[in-house]
Amino acid sequence: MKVYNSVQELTLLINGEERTVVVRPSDTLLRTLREKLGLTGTKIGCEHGDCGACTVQINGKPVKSCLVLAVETVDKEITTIEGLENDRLKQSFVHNHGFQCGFCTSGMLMNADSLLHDHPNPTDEEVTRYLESNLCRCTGYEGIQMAVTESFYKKKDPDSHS
Amino acid sequence: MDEYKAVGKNTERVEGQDKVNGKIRYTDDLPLPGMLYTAFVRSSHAHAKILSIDHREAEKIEGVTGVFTGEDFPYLIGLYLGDKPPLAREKVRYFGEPVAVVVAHTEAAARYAAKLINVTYEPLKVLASPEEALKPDAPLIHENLSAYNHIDAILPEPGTNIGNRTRIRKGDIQAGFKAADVIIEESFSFPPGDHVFMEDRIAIAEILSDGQVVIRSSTQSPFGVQNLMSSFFQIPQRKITVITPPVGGGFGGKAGIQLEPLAFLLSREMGGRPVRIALTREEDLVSAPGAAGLHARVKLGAKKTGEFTAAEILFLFDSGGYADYAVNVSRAAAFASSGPYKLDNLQTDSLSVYTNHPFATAYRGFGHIELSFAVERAVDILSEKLGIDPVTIRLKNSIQAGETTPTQNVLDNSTGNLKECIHTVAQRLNWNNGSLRKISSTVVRAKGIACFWKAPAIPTNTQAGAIITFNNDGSVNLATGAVEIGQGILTGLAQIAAESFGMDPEMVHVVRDVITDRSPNDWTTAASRTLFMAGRAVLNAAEDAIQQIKSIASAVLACPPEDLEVADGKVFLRDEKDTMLPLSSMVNGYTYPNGTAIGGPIIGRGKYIARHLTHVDPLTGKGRPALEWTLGAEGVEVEVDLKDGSFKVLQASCAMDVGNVINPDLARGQVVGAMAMGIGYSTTEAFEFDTSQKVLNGTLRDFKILRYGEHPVYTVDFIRTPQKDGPYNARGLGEQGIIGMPGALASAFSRAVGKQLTKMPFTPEYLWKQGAAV
Amino acid sequence: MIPFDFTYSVPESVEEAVSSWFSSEQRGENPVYYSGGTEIITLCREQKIEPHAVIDIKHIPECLKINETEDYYYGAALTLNTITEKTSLSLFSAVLSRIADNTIRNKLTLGGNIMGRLPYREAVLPLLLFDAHAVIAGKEGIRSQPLSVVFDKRLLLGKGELLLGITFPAKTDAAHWVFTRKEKNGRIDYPILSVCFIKENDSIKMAVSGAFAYPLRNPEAENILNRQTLSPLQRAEKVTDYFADYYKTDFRSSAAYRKHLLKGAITEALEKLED
Ligand SMILES: Cc1cc2nc3c(=O)[nH]c(=O)nc-3n(C[C@H](O)[C@H](O)[C@H](O)COP(=O)(O)OP(=O)(O)OC[C@H]3O[C@@H](n4cnc5c(N)ncnc54)[C@H](O)[C@@H]3O)c2cc1C
Ligand code: FES
Ligand code: FES
Repeated sequence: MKVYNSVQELTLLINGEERTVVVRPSDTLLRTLREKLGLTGTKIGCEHGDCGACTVQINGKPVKSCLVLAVETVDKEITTIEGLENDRLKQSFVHNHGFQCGFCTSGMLMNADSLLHDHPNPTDEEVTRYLESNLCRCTGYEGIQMAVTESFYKKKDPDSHS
Repeated sequence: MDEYKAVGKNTERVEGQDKVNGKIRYTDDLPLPGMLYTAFVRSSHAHAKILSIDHREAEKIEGVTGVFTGEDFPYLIGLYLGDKPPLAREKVRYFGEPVAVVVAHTEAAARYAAKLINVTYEPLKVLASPEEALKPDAPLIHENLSAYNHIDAILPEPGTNIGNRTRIRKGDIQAGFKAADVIIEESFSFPPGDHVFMEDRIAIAEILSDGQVVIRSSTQSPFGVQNLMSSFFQIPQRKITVITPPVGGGFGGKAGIQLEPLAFLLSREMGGRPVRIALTREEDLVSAPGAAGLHARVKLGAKKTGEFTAAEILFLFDSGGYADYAVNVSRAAAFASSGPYKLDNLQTDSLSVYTNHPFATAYRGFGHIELSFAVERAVDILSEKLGIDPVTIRLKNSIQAGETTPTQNVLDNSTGNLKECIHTVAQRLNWNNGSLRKISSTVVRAKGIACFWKAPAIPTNTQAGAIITFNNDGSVNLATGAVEIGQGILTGLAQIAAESFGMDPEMVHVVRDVITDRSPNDWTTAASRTLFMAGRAVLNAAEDAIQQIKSIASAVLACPPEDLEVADGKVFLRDEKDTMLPLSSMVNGYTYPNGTAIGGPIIGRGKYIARHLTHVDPLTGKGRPALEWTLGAEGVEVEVDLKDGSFKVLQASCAMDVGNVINPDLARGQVVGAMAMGIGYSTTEAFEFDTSQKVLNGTLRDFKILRYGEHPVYTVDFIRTPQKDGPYNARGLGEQGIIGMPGALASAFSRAVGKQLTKMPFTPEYLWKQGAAV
Repeated sequence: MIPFDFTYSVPESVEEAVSSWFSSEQRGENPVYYSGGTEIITLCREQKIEPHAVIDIKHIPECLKINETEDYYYGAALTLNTITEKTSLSLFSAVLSRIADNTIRNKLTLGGNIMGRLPYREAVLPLLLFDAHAVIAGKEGIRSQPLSVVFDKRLLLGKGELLLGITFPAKTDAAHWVFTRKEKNGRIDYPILSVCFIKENDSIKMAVSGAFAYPLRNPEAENILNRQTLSPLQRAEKVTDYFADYYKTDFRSSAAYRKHLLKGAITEALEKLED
C-alpha cells in the first residue's frame, strides 16, 4: 500500500513533461500547479467546485482542479491551458469574443476542448451539458456559444472549407 | 463608417492572445519573494459588541508572524465618508465583517491559526431594512457619525442611520398632481447582491527600504488608492506606487479603496515585507462590499392621454454596515430619478441608509439600475391603469434635447434619440403581434419593455491623461491610466490612437499595467466614462505628437508645418505625397546625411478634464453633475409555466444611442454581458438572510449567477446620434445594458402572471405565488 | 487550499483499506475513506472536518467494478460519468447525470454521493426503487444487505465500514419511469425536489429527495399511489398530505412550494405511467 506522509516528492506528468514537485498530501492540484509549478494559467475562482475557472484535463477529461489532490494524479496525464494545443479553438475564442476579462477563459477552454474532443459536432444539449460547468460573468455566453458551435467553423475559421 | 481606418472596425482584442494561452498575469499570478499570507476571522453576528478576542492559540501555530485586531489599527477609512476601521473595532456591523487577521509564512498556517481565534460577542438589535433603520427608536449603527470626515457632496444626518440624503426639487409637484387625471403610488424593493467578478479581490503591499510603499492590487482605481492612502496615513504621494495588472472583472466592485489600507498596515507591522490579502470567494461575496438593496416608493401622475405631470419619489438605499460608494450611488439615483422621461414636476428624496447587511459599493449601473426598476414599474402600472400600451406611454414621455433633467440641466443637441431606441426594441420583440401569448394550458409567453438612461456619476474635475512615445520603427507606445477590466479599453484606445496617426492598430502598443508613478493620472476606471475621457486624452496626445512630427519634418522638408500630413507611417506634403519622411527616420531624432541631428524623442502628451460640471444645490439638486447621457430601451420575452412559475428568458433586446461605435464587436460584448448580468440581478442574485441577518447563501453554490444555457438570444442595436464632444462622436456604453433589464423582466413577468410585481428577485416560487394569488 | 496536513494512503485491497482505517483510528488520526473527494476537500478547506488520515479507495478492485450481466453491480468509487457512460439503465443514468455538473461528475463517485453529508444524495433514489443491496466491508468481512434495511435516512454503516458497491438483480429497464427534478432557479443547483417513479408489475414506486431532509421511499405513500380508484390528482393530493410534516423550508424554497411541486410531479407521473 502506498502511503504519502506529510511532505512528499511526487513526479507528475503535466503537459507532456515529467515534473517533480514537493507537496503536502493535502495540497490540491490547483494550488500545486499555481504555486509550485508556476502554471498560473489555471485560475482560482471559488475553490468550491462552482465556477470552473480551475478546470484542467486529467486523462483528457475536464476536472475542477480545486477538488483534486495533487497526490491523486500520480500516473495520470494532466493538461493545463499552458499545454492546450487546440489553437483553432483558441482563435475561435478570440475572433468570436468568447471572453472579456479572461479570468474564466482558461477553464472554459479546457472544458470546451474536451467537449469538442468527445463530440466533434456537438448538439446544443451537449454544449450546454459541458459548458454549464463553468461560470463567466463578463460575456453573457453569446461569444462563447459562437466560439464553440459550428457557426464559428462555418463563419470565421479561415482554414475551414466546409 | 468607411471614412475611418481603425475606428469602427472589429480590431482584435490587444491582450486576446495572452488570455487564450493562460499567459495574461493578474495580480495573484505574480507572487513576490518573501511574501506573507493572511487569513481573516469574520464576524458571526450582524450587529454585536465585541467582548473579547482570544488569539493566544493562533499565535502558537508554526509560521504565524502576527495576529491583529481592530484595536491595533485605530483608523477610520472611507471613500467619501470615513466610517470604516480596517478591522472591526468595538463592534461589528454586518455578518462576515473581518474582526481579526492572521499573518503567516504560508496561507495554510494563516488559515489554520485563524480558526483557533475565539471571539465573544454581545448581540445587539439588528436592523434588517432601511425602513427599520429609519424608525425613531432604531439603534444607531454608527454612533459617531457626526465626528466622521466626509466630502462636501455627501450629507450624513448624525443621530440617525442616514449616511446621505439627496434632494431633487424641480417644478411644482402639487400643481403637477392636481393636473393629473390618474395617480398611482406603489412600493418596490429588492435585497442587496454582489458583483461576482470571477477574480476575487486581492492586494499585495510592501514597503521598500527607502519607505516607498508599493501596492499591487486588482483595482479599478489605482490613482484613487494612491490618493486615499496618502491622506489616510499621511504618506507623501510620491512615496506610494500602485501597480495594477489587468483585472479579472470589476463591475464597480473594485473601484474606490478596499483591501489596500490593511495590506499596507500589515506590511508595516511586518517590517515592510510583502503581505498578500487574497479574499476567498466566500469573503468576496459577504465580507467585501456588494450591490445595494433598494426600498422605493413612487407616486406618479399623468393625464388621461398619458403625459406625465408629476412624480414624488423616495429611494431608501440599503447601504449595509458602511457607506463606501453607497452614499454616492443614492446620490446618482436622485440625479437620474425621473428615468429618461420628461417630468417637469419632480420631488425626490434619495437616502443611503445604514443597516446590518453586508455593505454596498459601486455596482454596474450605479444607482440607475436600482432607480430604473422602481420607475419602470411605476410607468407600467400607470400604463395599465390608463389603458395605454407600455410602448406608447414611453414614446409619449421620452426625454429629448431641449428638455431638462432632474437637476434642471437642459439636454443639448448631442442627446440621444430615445424614441428610435424604443421603436427598434419594439420591432425586435415583434411587440405589435401582442405582448402575451398562450403556448399551452399552463405555459405563456410574455414580453416586457423598459427604458433607461445613464450619465457618469463623477466628480466635477474628473480627468484622464495619455502619453504617446515612439519606437524607432515608427510604431507607437500608448500609456494611459485606464485599467483593462475586460471592457476592451486597451483595444479601443489603440484604435483611437491608430486612427489619429492613420496607421494600422497593430502598430500601436498599449501599455497594459497601470503604474501610478509612470502612467498618466486617471480618476478611476468606472462610470462608463473611460473610453470617453481617456479616448479624448489619446486624441489630444496624438495631436500633440503630430505637431512635433510636423515641426521637425518641416525643417527637413523645408516647408511650412501646416502643409504636412501624417498617415501610413509617414509624414508627407499634402499635395506632393512623394516629398515625405518615414516616421521611423524621425520620431526619435532626425539625422541629416552629414551626421547632424535634430529633434529627439517625440512625446505626445494628452489630457482631458470633464467640462462644465458643477456642484449641486443641496436643497433642490439644481446643478450639473452629469457629463453625457446615454439613452436606450430594452425588452425581453419570457416563457413562464404558470403551474410552478418556472421560466426561461427567450430573448433580450437592447437598443442604445451610443453616438458612434469604436469597436462594434467589443461594444456588443459589453452590452450583451450587461444584459446577462441584468437577468441574474433580477432573477437570482439576492442575498438571503435569516432573522438575525446572517447571510444564508454566501457561497457560489448558493448565490446563483447566470450559467451557460440559461442565456437568451440577444439582439443589440446601436443608434448613432453623434456625441459631439466624444472621441469620434462616441459616448459611454459599458454599464448601460444592465439598467433596463429589471424593468423589462418585471414587465414581462407581471404580464405573464397577471399581476403587477413589486419585488425582486423573480424566482419561480415568487412567480408561482403571485400567479396563484390572482 | 487545505490548511492542515494528513497522510494519504492508497490501499489496493479491501482488507488493506479496512485495517488501515482501524490502525489510523487507533492512532487518533480521525480517518476518512476518500472516494471522489469533492466533499472531503470542500469540508477540509472550510475546516469543518479535520482528518489526519485519508484513505483513497479508488485502487480497490471491488470499488471500481461494474457489471450488468447477471446481478448488476456498481463499485462505490466509480464516477457518475463512468456509470452514465456504461449503464444500460436509463433511469439510473438520467438521475446521475443531473447531480452537480458534468465536470464534477468526472470526479464525484457513487459511494461518495450515497455517503455524503448533504441531504440530497440523489443517486440513492433509483437504487431504492431497484430494491438494491449495499455491499459493505468491515472488520468482520463483507455483507450484502438490502437498502430497505440498511438505508434509513442514510446508509447505516458501522464504525470503519466501507461501502464497496451496490448490487441488485438484473433489471429489464423498460421505459416505465419518470424522473422530475426542480431547482430554485437554474439547473446547476441542489434540487428542491428530485423524485423518481417506476412502474413494475403494474405497481408504481416512488422515491423522493430534495423536498425532504433525506432521500425517502415510503410504503404507505406507495399504497396510496396505487389506489387506482382515485384520480391521479386525488392520489397526488393524498400522498402530499400524507407527507405533511416532511417538507423542508430553507432559503431555496418554502415547504408549501415543495409540496406543490411534488403534487404536480406525482400527478404528471401517474398520468404518464398509467397511460
Ligand atoms: C458543485 C457541486 C454540486 C453538487 N450538486 C449536487 C447535487 O445536485 N445533488 C447531490 O446529490 N449532490 C450534489 N453535490 C454534492 C455531492 O453529492 C458530494 O460532494 C458528493 O456526493 C461526494 O462524492 P465524492 O465521491 O466526491 O465523495 P467524497 O468526498 O470522497 O466522500 C464523501 C463522504 O462519503 C464518505 N465515503 C465516500 N465513499 C465511501 C465509501 N465507499 N464507503 C464509506 N464512506 C464513503 C467519505 O468518507 C465522506 O465522508 C454537489 C457537489 C459539488 C461539488
Ligand atoms: S476554483 Fe475550482 S471550481 Fe471554482
Ligand atoms: S471573461 Fe470575465 S469571467 Fe468570463
